[in-house]
Amino acid sequence: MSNQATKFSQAATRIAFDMRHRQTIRFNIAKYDFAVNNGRQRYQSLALAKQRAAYLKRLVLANWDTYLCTFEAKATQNGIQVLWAKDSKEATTYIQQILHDEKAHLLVKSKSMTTEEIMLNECAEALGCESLETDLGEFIVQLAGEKPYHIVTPAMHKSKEDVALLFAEKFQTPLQSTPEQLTNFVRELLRQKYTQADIGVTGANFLIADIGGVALTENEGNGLMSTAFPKVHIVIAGIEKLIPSVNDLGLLWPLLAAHGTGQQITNYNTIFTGPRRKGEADGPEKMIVILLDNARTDLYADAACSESLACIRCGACLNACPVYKTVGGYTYDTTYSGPIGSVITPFLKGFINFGHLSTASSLCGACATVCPVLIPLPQLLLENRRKSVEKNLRPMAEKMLMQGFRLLSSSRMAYDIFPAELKNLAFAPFNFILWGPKRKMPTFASKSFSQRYKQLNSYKK
Amino acid sequence: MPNIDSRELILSRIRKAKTMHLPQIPAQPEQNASVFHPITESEATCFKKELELVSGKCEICPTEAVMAKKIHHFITDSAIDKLFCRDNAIIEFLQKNKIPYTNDEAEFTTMQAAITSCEFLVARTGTVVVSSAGNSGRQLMVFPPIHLVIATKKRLVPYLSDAITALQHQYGDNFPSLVSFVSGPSRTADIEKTLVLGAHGPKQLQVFLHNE
Ligand code: SF4
Repeated sequence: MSNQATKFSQAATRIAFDMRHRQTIRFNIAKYDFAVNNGRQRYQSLALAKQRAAYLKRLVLANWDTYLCTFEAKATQNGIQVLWAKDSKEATTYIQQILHDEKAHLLVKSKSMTTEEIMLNECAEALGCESLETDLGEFIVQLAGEKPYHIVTPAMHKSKEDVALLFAEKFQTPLQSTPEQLTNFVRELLRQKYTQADIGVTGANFLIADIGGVALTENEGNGLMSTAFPKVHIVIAGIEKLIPSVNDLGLLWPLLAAHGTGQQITNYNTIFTGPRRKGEADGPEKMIVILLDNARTDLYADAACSESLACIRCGACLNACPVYKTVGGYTYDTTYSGPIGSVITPFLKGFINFGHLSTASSLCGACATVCPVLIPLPQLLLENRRKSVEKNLRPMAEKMLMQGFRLLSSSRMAYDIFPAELKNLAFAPFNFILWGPKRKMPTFASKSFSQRYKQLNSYKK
Repeated sequence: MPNIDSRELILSRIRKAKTMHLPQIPAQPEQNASVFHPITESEATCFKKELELVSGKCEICPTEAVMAKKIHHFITDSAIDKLFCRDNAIIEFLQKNKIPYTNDEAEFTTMQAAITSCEFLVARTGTVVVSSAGNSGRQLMVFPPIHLVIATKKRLVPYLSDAITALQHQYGDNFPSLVSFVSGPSRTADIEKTLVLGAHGPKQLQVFLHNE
């Protein structure tokens, strides 16, 4: 097993029986489930909406290069500078150059998993530029020195008492502060920062090809604040974020909201098409869009898993996944966790270290059922399992077990000749090596089906 | 600084992958039926109901005079001294109706409330569509602790997609640098999924809708 896989098993074993963690996650996800149920009622036909969105994103993938070029041409025409980054190193080089050119001291940032992927905060701070998370959940995890626990709800693992304690330590706020008081505290603190910041960074929920625009979805207004005051707006977007037309947003915005948080529509859905135009009252002088590949084209080259590029990062598959709910976001040790993270991470960071994630699934299918763009996640996880086996990356013990089982089960004679006790004895060690002592491997019945069948039928005669 | 090589590299990798396996496109689903519920009441009533479901407020006023009166009431009740305003057409209305206001930028950071117009109102979702095109700019739609919006009923459209079509009508493909679809006051549920209004943007969103 790779180090990462061992780390995963150990972390999973530890956290799965951490009752406080389990309680917090259950509580939060139950609230999410309740909201999503209400959100579904807002649709006359959710199934049709999902089919349309699934179709749209597949259409983009089939004509990916064309849409990228259309976006680039139109955005450039709008006065946006478009930069292409093949990997996160190139993206951070661009950013450091911009920070240097702008002599930036303070960067404010709205929530974006792509910036996590390239480790933007670390990259800015290496240049002595403060990089401040402004989304409340991100602010909390940054303050705690942690990474986001969930792609939509970064601080899902913290109870309100945890947050109150953290703020009391860092800002000497009262220990009994309510969520409302804590939110207000951050509001006042950050209001001073937005107006002083040199650079505002956002992600993109969608890159709109036909108008060369960027769509950003958020509830708090921090994205709007981060792009209303600073003189430079940088967008960091994965190249898969494309949609054909601004007209598609009427379908996609409500769908993202319904699956992300259960809202009918997220509070702020903003379309940016450039820096401040002539005659406008305010806005940044420059807008730069960095198009990030970072192995997305590797994913695309894979016939099966390329479909996962249709993902709109709603987070629904995480919340539906029994494994995510048990082992939590940190156990994955990846930027993107849950079922979608398990599918894409081996491509982004290598099968050697992350191939094991495809086994972190019971293949129950809950993720595929909830996915708004109909990505067949369990099938893709199976595909990745096959790849790990073909690449010879599975543990030796598993290989032995599987070979042993094949030998036994591929011949009736072999299966029936060994008594059940012997078979159980032979396979028992694997219960400990592979499955762990907390789970019980199914045992062989004392008589095989064919033996019992024969027996029963002979009585009848 | 832009790296031409990376652009070519990314595009060529995509094109190469396409020659190896053609990405599957499912059959195009039916495109005409609405996936959302129909609007059974008037658009104004629907808008008000939806906006109030997400903690906004909407006053439907038969005339501009009634609207002025309601704004007066609102600012008295909320102990607002004056409204911050950058929009000349609205300033004229405020002056005419003796509603206290300021357009002094020195008072920007200390303002209690601001008043702006909007592009459109979306009935189905209770959404106020604002843009950077007017005098109010980007800042006034998010910075004020209380945001007042005035609009005539002519700005109402049924669904989000209608608002997008209307924007295209108005601006062609030369959109204002920012268009935002705002549904209710700023909110967060990042601490234990507890809803708190006024995370970074306005704590209250108050729409005054009139007929004239
Ligand atoms: S795979 Fe589907 S359910 Fe999961 S985050 Fe992406 S779009 Fe949402």
